[in-house]
Amino acid sequence: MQQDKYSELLNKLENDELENISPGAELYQQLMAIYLYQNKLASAKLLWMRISNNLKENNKELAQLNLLNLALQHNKYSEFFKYIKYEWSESNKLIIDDLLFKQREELLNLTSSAYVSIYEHNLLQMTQMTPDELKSACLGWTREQDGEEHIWQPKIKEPTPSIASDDQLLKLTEFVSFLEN
Amino acid sequence: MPVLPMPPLMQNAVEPMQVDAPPNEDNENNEEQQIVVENPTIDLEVYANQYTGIARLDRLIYVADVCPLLALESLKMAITYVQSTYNVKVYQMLHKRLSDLQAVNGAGATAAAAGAEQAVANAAAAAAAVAALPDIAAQPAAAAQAQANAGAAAAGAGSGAEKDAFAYDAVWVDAKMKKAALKLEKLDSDLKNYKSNSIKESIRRGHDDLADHYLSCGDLTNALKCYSRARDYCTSGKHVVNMCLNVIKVSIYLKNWAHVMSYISKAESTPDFSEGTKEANAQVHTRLECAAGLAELQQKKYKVAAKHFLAANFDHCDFPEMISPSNVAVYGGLCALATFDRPELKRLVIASTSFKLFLELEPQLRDIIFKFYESNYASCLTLLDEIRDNLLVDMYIAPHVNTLYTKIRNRALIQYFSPYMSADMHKMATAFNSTIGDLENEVMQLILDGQIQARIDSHNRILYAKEADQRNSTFERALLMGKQYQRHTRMLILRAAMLKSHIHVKSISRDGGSSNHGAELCVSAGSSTTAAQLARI
Amino acid sequence: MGSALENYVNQVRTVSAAGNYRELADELPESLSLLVRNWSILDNVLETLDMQQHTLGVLYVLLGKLHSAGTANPDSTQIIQLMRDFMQRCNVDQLRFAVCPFYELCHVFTDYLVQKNLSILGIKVLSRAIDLIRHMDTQLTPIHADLCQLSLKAKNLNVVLPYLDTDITDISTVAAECKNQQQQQQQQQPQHTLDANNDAKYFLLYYYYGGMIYTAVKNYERALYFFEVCITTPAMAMSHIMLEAYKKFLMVSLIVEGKIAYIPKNAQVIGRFMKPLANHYHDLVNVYGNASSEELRIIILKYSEVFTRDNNVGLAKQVATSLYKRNIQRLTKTFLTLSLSDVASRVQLPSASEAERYILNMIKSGEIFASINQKDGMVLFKDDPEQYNLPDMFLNVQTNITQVLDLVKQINKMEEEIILNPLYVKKALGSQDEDLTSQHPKTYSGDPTD
Repeated sequence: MQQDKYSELLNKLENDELENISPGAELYQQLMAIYLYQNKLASAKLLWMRISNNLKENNKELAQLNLLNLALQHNKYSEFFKYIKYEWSESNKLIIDDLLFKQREELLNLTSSAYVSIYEHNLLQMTQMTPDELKSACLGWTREQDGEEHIWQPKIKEPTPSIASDDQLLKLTEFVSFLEN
Repeated sequence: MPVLPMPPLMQNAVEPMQVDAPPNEDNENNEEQQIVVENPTIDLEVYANQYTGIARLDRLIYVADVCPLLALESLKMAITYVQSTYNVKVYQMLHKRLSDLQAVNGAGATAAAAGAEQAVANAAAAAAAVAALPDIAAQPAAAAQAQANAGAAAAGAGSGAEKDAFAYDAVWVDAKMKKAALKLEKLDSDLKNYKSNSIKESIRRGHDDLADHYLSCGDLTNALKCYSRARDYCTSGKHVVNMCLNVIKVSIYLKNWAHVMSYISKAESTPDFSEGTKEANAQVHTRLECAAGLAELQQKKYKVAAKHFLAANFDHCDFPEMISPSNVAVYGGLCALATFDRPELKRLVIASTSFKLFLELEPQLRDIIFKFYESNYASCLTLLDEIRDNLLVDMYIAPHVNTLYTKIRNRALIQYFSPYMSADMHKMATAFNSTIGDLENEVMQLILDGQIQARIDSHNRILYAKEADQRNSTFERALLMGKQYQRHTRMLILRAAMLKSHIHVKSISRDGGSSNHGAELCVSAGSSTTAAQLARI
Repeated sequence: MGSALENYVNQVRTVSAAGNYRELADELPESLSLLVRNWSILDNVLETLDMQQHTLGVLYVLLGKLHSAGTANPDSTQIIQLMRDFMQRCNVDQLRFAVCPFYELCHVFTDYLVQKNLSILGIKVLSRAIDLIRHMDTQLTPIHADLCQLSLKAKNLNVVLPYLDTDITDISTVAAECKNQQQQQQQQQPQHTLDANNDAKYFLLYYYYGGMIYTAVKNYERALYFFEVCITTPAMAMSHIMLEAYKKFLMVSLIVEGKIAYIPKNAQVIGRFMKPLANHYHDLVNVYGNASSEELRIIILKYSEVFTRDNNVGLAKQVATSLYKRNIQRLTKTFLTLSLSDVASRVQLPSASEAERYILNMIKSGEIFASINQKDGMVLFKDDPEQYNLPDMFLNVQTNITQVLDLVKQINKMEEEIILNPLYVKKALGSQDEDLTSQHPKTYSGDPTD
């Protein structure tokens, strides 16, 4: 599972934090990035609150991560995508890339379910993409002219029907046999 | 001296207060909506003549309370009427009101009058307070003294205003009180006589007579007591019914609706209630139905009230000491409109031959009901608005007018929409004399209350009916129920553990472990800072 | 090393070697003051004792060290390390003879860490301590409250949440433990009641802190549950913990249910003592009932001083947000379409774009089902698309059923225990001719169908 990709690392980092008197900035950066990636916003917020002031002020990258954190907390998409354009250090880069990918996908999914139509400049503003990027991302959506502006009509996504697993079928049969007896 | 035993008298000393108390509790929420009626179109004379006894006084006083326009007239009318009774207390109260009113009217010119007015008020209040003591005979001197003062003061203040037949008549008060005391004494000794001869029937009558006298004096609680006491001497079902009717009457004056209800059922369960002559029976029946209707109305059970009123028989509806036939029409009609569905309205109201006679007394209301039934809501609602002020001077229906009107309006809205899958809100607004915006809000409230199953398309101004999916809502409810059950059970198990471990906060904890506790509290307060910060978005 | 301390070490060694742990546990409390007095050389004592073999002895030395921390001012790293080692290596069987001092050790350690602002380092230690001493996962110990406090202080809730998520079925109290351990000894009465009060205090604190922790992670329903436990604890007097919990309870119930959640009738303390002291909060509840965000904003502003004093500002803001959301949800129930500006005016948001933001967020979190049409500025409200026919829902129902069945089983087990309890049987049979019998089965069984 994708979600578990960082779980192991996360466990280790969380443990380290509890055992050391003053953990370094790197640990916090990674923790924060993973929390954000896993969408554990409450944990991310708490994490920022317990980081010592000294680190907060002196570590640029950590501060940048917190900007992402704040943007996500308040659902400010345009800010998020603006702040994520940053020279991330090696240790964090992979996580951040995953985060970006995931957030972009989620935003587009959200847009397609929450909007019947949305003006292009709003969409561009939210995703912080170039028009070309947007076009390639929104495959299948309809783009229309509305007066001066372009307006997008997202394609409604068919919910992928999940197939009952064997486990569930087993339980179902159990249940039915229970009812029969 | 009256020879009544002492204890009841002693109790009585506080009871004037108690008489006031129950209605206050009953009308708790009515008090907020201080009713002020601007311009009713009733003829007070005609209105008042529909009633007798305390009912007439109460109603006139209520009019004076809510309607500044008619206040003077109704007070005077009440004074005239009260002079035919022994009700000195009310007489004094009315005079105080009257002089207050006149003083206020007069004080518009001279500010100095205010002081005088205050003096009158004080004196009158003192007099009333003294007079309120039922033990009139015990201290007539003091009372008379106070009254004389009050009278003088009133005369002094009122000198600027009119001097007419409505001046305070201290002599009358004195005479009446003496007479009342004499009569009381006589009735009392009569009763004693009967008792010593132990003739049941006479004792019963004696009690009734005594009660009648108390009633005439305006002493409701004692009247109630005496009427109730007659119960032990009833020898026939008829007597029991009679006793019940008396108690009901006084309980209505006292606004003790629970009492009214219990005595109605007592009367109805009397074994030979159904026997006896048909004629007399029908009258008792109607009387009981009306009393029940009134009681249910006051307890906001409008539908039951409507049914009771509708069961009244016009030919036997003659009890001016309680309510008038046109009251029955109005109370019954409005409650029915507010709570009946269409078939019920047709069957029980419009097609009812007996109620038709009632409605003839109130042609406006009859029109309203017919318009409503014909789905002519606009004119129905207009007519309703027209009679509103007249309803508001009626002491029994006034507190319920707003509720009933809203109910009627809502019922109209619901009925209007019921046959449609979708309805144009423009048309709907015209049908209800209302703007689209107001209508939208009204409908929204109805939808939220679950009275209309629909959704508003605010864009196209159309109201769409919405069908509830039974299966989904069942699922939803079941899941919710499961969740609640789990929460409840967990709490239960925890509570069992708590009791087992004797977890119990005792008062010593504050003294014994105070320092410890305080310290812990500081910590908790400190850490709650963090929680509060955390909770912030 | 002083001779008294040598005696101490010898005593510990010989009695431990003989395996007379009960005797040792009974005797050691008397040496505590001695240990505290000789704080300067406690490290030497530690060196002569083995944590595994002489758990009880070490326990008291550690207690002595922490009690004397005020004067001795030892190196905090060393203390934490000692505690960590102790939790790792001590012998649980020996600990069982000295549960009360062990609890005390944890309390003192917590106070020490809070004071030194090193709360985060105690989390692991205490979590280990709980795992050691509790008889089962669902047992509550007084240490739980300490762990909650440290977690709150350290703003690190990962460790404590699993503990909070476990529903408690049994409570370990100092009063009960002491009774167990010192059955022979005569217990003085005042000491006993104090213990009982402390038990209540730690119990209340656990549920109060727990509620705050859940509030912090925005699990409001569970927070409400915790606060409810706290305020409905049997009480003759009002604890200030309960009062604070009551205030938070009111606010959280607004967030969760939009009104005051149902409070069991048996909590008379609430009506008598807490309501008058929390009238500002009741005002808030009343205003919330009017569904007007503007009025709510005004009252929050008006009482901001009170909320600040009670540290409930954050919650008050959440309450305000929840009203906006609740009002929007009401709209979805009544409207099919509504323009964004109408939404804004109906729920009293400043602008259409602000309304759009709220709606978008609520769609995201699944609180409403709607779609926005920017072209004509309208919102289309939809029904919950859940049709209860997908395997996921089946699984959900299934888990719920399993949970309920487990609960029923547990209740049955508890009932069985009570029925088999000789005391109960005696009472039930003995008082058969009295009225009591009819009441007893009812009060005890806790029949789930009630």
